Amino acid sequence: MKLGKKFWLAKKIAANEQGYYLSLEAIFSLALLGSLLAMPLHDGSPDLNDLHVFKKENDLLLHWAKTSGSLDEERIVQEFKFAFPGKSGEISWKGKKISIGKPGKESIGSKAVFFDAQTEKREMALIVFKQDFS
Amino acid sequence: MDLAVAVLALLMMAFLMTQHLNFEKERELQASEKTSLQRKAIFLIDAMVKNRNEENPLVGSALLDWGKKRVEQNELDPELFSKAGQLQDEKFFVGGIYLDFGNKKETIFLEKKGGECIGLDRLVSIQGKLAMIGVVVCEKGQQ
Repeated sequence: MKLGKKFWLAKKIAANEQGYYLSLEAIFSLALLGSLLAMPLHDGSPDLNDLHVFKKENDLLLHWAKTSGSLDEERIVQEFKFAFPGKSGEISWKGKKISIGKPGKESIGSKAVFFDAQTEKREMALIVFKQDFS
Repeated sequence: MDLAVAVLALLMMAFLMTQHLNFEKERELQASEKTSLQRKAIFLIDAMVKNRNEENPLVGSALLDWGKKRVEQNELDPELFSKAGQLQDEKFFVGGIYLDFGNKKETIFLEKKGGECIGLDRLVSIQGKLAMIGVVVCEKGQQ
């Protein structure tokens, strides 16, 4: 009796359940679709702009290091604007942060450590934000 | 019917994949061409500010400090720089170079040949003053 009841229930469930049957080709198709979607996409074409900005930052830091004796905030701002027109940036010099323009989300930074004319160790950091605010 | 749909989907996937690969290949080629020109311009201008070459100042215009007996990188010798001549190979040529002091701009040479060009600048010191040198590198073959 018990067995009969179980068999009846199994039959009932089997009748109500709706299953999916995929052919081998359909499985291949789905696998292909999955692999197609999983393919990595490049985020934009690669370029060397960041490297170029970094090299220019180093040029500017080198110039400031060589002429650090006559370096003041006004000259820093003026030369930054000449070097990176339309760009925002931040310069750390003698414990002070000089901001130019609006800060952006992405930036390229460089730092210089040097000894000035009085053989005092100095550090200078320069950040250029990638976004153009011109 | 199920088989027909599956085969059609399979064919569509294969088509999409080949299209995608073709597109990627084309884009990579274009990016590589662009990067190649940019790379040449970066290396050229880097050589210009770091080296000294009296025969061809285009690949080296840095100042020579006779006292220290060394080339001062990022210190430009404006006299040598003004003598810079043309440079080219099978794929590219230098379309122009200039010196920018902020209030004054000196063009050493500029050729307008119409190929795809890229311009890059670097910062140098000239007797303690900040200046910018620029180079225009152009592709050959599309003129």
